[in-house]
Amino acid sequence: MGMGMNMAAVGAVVGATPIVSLAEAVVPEELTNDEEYQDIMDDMRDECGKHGQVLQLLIPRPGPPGQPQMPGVGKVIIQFGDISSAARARQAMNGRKFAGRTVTGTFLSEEQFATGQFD
Amino acid sequence: AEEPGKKKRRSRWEEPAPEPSMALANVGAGAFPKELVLPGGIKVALPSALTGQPTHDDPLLKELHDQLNECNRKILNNELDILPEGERSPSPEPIYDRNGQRQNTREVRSKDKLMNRRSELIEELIKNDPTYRPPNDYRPPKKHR
Repeated sequence: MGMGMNMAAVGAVVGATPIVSLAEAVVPEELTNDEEYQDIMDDMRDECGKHGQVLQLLIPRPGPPGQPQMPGVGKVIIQFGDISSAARARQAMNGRKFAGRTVTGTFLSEEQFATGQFD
Repeated sequence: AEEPGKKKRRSRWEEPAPEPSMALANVGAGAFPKELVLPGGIKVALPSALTGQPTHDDPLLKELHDQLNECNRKILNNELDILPEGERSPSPEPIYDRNGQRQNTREVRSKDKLMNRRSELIEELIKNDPTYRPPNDYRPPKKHR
């Protein structure tokens, strides 16, 4: 019975997980401004919410200059409530433009997500 | 100073492109549109070989296509990825045919592995890429229980 979840993962979309990672959507410079950051968070939350329940939305921000970078700066990571929402969202957002940039969407494994391997 | 009414801000998300129709603008780019609408409203996606569209915007599909190409190349060139002596795992028990010829030599097993991988990739592509046409020599695997 415990295998049920894993079997469902081998579904219609290759390698789909509940976690979507968007690249090319944000650039580090625009994340330093608090207001702009908030706007971007809102845009992402609204858009992702159209495809299903969003459990977590992470947009790593660049640290102070000279410090080592957090993993995933420049990425947007969304944890959905289930795989099918994530698959729909990735399908819808991949190739679409955000702030004029063409976004690419991929999936992160649960393990990568849990251990913060966002790059 | 936030306004209490909270103005509706324009999202950074660009509206999704409208369904490509057989617009003239589309024909200008390549000789063929990406999609044809036949009389009766049946939509037909033309293969990318005709439309000259970039083959795959989708990184997942691109990955599958790349892996399949790599697999095909190895099969054609007989690159069997046989590890050097000492790094290999134990071989299975040998199987001989009626004439005493060994059936499951290392080369045969490696080639089978590649062929299976190729079938898997083709199957995934059929499921995920609506424009993909499997090669003529591809046979769907037999489902046996």
